[in-house]
Amino acid sequence: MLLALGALATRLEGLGPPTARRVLAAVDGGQIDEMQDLLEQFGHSARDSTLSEFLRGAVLLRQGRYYGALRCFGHAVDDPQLRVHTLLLSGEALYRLGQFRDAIGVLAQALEEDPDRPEIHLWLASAYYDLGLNPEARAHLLRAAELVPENPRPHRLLGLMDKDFEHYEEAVANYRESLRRSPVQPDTPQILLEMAECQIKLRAYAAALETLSRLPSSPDRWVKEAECLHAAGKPEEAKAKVEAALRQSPAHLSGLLLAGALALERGAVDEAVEWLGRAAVAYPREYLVRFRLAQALRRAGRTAEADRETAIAEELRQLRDEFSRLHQTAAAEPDNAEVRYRLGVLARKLGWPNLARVWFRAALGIDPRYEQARRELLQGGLGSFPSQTTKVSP
Amino acid sequence: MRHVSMHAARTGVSLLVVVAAIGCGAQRAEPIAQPAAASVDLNPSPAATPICPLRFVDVTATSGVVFYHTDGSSGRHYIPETVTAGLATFDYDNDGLVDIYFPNGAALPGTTVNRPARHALFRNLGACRFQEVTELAGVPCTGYGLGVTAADFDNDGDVDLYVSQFGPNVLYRNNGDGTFTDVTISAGVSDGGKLGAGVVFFDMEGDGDLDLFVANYLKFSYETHIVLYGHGVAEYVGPRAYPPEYHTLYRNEGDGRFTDASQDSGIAQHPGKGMGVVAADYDGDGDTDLFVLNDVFENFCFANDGHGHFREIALLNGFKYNGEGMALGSMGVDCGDYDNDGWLDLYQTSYQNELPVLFRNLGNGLFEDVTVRSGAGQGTLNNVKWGCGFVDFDNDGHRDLFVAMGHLQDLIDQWDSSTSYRTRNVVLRNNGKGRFIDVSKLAGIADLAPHSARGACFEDFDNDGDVDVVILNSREAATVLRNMYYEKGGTNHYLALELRGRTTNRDAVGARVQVNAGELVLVDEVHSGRGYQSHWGSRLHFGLGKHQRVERVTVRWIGGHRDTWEDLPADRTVRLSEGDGVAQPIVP
Repeated sequence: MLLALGALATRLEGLGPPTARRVLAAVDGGQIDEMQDLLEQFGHSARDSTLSEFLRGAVLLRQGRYYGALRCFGHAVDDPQLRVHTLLLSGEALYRLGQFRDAIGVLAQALEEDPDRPEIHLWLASAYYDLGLNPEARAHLLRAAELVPENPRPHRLLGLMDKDFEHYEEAVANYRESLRRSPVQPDTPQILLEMAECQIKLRAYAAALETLSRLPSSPDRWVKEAECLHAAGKPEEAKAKVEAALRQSPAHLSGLLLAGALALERGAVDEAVEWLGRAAVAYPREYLVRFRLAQALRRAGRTAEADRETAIAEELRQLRDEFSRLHQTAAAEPDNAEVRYRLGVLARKLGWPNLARVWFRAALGIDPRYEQARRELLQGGLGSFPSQTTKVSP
Repeated sequence: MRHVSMHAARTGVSLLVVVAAIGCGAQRAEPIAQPAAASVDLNPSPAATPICPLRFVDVTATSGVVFYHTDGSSGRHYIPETVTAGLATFDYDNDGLVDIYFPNGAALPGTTVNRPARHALFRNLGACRFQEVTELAGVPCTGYGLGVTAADFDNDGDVDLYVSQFGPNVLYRNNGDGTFTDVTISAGVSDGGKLGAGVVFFDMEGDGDLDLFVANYLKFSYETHIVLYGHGVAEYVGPRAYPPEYHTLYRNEGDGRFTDASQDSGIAQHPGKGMGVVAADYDGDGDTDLFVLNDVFENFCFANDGHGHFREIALLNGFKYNGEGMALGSMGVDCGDYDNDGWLDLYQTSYQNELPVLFRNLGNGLFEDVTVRSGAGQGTLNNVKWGCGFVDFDNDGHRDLFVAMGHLQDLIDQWDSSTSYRTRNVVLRNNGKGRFIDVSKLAGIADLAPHSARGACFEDFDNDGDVDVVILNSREAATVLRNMYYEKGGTNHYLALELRGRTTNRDAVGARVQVNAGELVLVDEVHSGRGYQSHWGSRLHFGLGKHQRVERVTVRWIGGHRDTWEDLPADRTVRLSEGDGVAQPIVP
């Protein structure tokens, strides 16, 4: 968005009004009063009227008044000099309204006018991603990365997508490229941590440690280092690391899982049950927690509790299995609103309320009349889950 | 893609947040530590620096083993092509030398051949020399072979052969004169023309004869055939595209006939997508249980009540999933006591990007996935893994691991640079302290030509005291690897045992052996069928380290009665017969 307006500033220089720089500066800084003053100054010429509608739309967009913004953009879209910018900002407004299909349509028009504008590719990537259409999202991210060789964000996103889909080698390559383009980004620590996670999945423990060494000391870093030590056959050192992490961050999911695993390995079954029981309280819908807790309880001879945990774990496993299957279906069926609604329901059951909202929005983005999806979005309470939380005493 | 794990799904909420930040110019960033030397040391202590007394040499060219595998493919990418085949090693002519039987594929629709491919039997002549005797022995089967096992099902003193196929299976009865007779029909074990997989003989109810378990892969027909074009070229579809198939359990009636006991036994309640199978008494209760791997489907452990009735308990005993709670693209399975604690552990192979799994037997009826901490998956992650074996290659008293690898997608090299259709196998040396070390390079395995391996068998073919390897390679010639441990100056000792049942089944399948030599307490069991749809190891091989004598050998036969032999010299192969206190040397 901001890049778009920056590019617009250059074009507006040629339009004459001396306030163009100030307008864009005001938009850039979110100074609504200043923008409204400037809009008054544009007067009532046809030329300025179109421009003022455009600017008014940009202001409304920043204010989160997307329908109003779209109405304003409607007055400006036929201006050949403003058309690409208007389509781009309209695409953003539609995206933010969750109308992903419409956003894609508008952005595709913008792309016809200007195929090499990186912002268009980025918004298209967002819209496709939120519809669950990853190949299309990837293609636009890659094109955006080509168009702006110094921009680190597309590869950061590609890394995240690859990590989600367990393409760890590709994820590491994308994270590396992002960091090569810009070693210091707002979320560089998160990028490094995600990259280390991928390297651990690839059993490249030395590389993971090198990546982790670039992070400030933190529970996240210690837990990942502990995982590397564990894999290298150094359980005592791993134990020290993970316990230090848990002292600082008592509900660290990976830390609790690893502490439980290490305790089980040395035969400290009751301790393992305690660690994993804590994890189950903090993350009641986390499959691996329930699975491991069931195993620990069984080893402790607490068969009835183990059976109960096993049943919960199996329920979660089936939900996740179904989620994975539906995800593939969504990718194969770009216009299927129902499958997206079902993904939202599953995400809600699995304890991912934000993701549930995204899928409900995706369903509505395809079919705005999908009442069940709308109700789910309006209802809130997305965190509820029928399975009980097991309270495990040490 | 053949296999997508259950966790392979988007977890990120939206790209919006990240995209919105694009181009915002001045970005605030937290200070980041400069790259520095890792503060954590993964290296083992200097005393633990890998040493490798192992060396394998490819002797295929001089061995006389000329076997070229075909999967019958024509480019149509039928799924059976991906899973052929295992192989079997056994002494079919009772001459003290272990022979080799290779199942082969057959032409599938779209393939035209002048001469049908056939399965092949190679007679061991000694000194790692073999001679093909397929026609002479009467086993020139031209069916589509997949799995194979060998045992004396009729207790007549010679080893018989059972082959699972895509199509009717085959039971060859050994006539005792170097020839076999196809008795499939009279025995009633054709299994109806399914897509077969791993097969095992075992005595499920302790009545003295061997019953037969037949795993089946999935329900495939040409009418339901699917081809993928995900990467612009034809690909094999994964097993999820087809429904599971029923496994079959045949009860041996003792008169040459078998009856289908799948329903009565409880086996029929659990259809799956069977691959490797091993039968073993994992809980020490004296009866033999069944471990069935299923491809992209949970594993089965059929616990035997001693009377041939089974309960599937894999979820309860920890064998159903790996330690991450995941069902894998499971392939082959072996069992052996890798940590010498007296309990049989399990090792299973898996698909690309999945570690194999070392299931440690905790001795209380439960298994624990110790793959990561033991290093039992090193060097394997990127490849599809098939044959496997717990084998003490250097006779130090600790069982090493061999993993045969190769992709099943014949065109994988065109779209995935992380793996290859043809790749190299891996040998992991057991350091005796719960860790495996990848010694593939040091042992010469990593220098051998790459192949797309499937089944692998492990036997002392030249009777020189160390265990050699034979591998079936898909669409290629088989490989024979000679273990050069002694030629390289190895000084460890060994004892090889051939068990003979009298009141129990003649091949002593299911008998448990404990060998005491100094501080070593070694345990093994006689199996018929293991690894990737293969059979080997009827002759039990124990590495003794520096011990030149064995204080005691105890055999617990099926049924629970025991015999003991004391003070046996090392470095020989002996026959121990049920109820007979004399150890008979076997001299080929």
